[in-house]
Amino acid sequence: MNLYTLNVIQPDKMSLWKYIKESEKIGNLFIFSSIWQWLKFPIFALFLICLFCSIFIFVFGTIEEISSDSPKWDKVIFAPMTPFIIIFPLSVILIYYKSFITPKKLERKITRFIEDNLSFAENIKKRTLANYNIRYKGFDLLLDYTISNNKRLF
Amino acid sequence: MVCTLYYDVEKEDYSVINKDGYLTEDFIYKWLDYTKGKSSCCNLNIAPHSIIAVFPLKKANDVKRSIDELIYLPTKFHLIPCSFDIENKTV
Repeated sequence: MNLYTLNVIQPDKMSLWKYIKESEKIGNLFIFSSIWQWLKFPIFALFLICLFCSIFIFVFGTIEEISSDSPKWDKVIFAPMTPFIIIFPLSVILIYYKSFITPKKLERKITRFIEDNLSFAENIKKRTLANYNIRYKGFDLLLDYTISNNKRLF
Repeated sequence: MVCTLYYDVEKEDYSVINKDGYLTEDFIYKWLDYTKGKSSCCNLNIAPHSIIAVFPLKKANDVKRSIDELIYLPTKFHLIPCSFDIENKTV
């Protein structure tokens, strides 16, 4: 089992492609500076995926209906909407939870850990949501939240 | 949660970290000898240039004892603890 420290990343200046690549790595946590940034990255990426699925369904649906004896064109029109009706809203809810609620919950848990167990420290400096510098009896320690490779953060 | 103390060794001293950057066998035996059976050391791990204490986020026990042990170990093994700028790592 490997432990990975959590990388807190602000994806404001990233390209969409880099965002998709970085989101695959274990231990990356994206903190969006605004709702606009959130719409720009995960939601836009999701929109593109749904659009691709819709086009795929439309093209293959059309081919199949053309070759059939009694084509049902209403199916060809409505079936491509499925990704936007089912997948898109569900994914938006999940991504919102991951982007805004999970970091807050995590921060609360870490704060509680520090309050309960490290009250003796002389100086605690927060570097990021999941990384702290601690000074105790003149020694400098780093406190980091970690995840293991067999357990994704979300 | 992981609490890390970074250490260095004297220049030209290869009794802890060898020329290849690995911990020496002698040092590992000394470490195991000292930490064996100690409850305050059960959370501690040693690596080249760092001593690491691992605690569960929930129900962490004896954090203070482990951290006290963590900061005692550099003295015990003649290691040089590294300091950090509170803003930037200066190891």
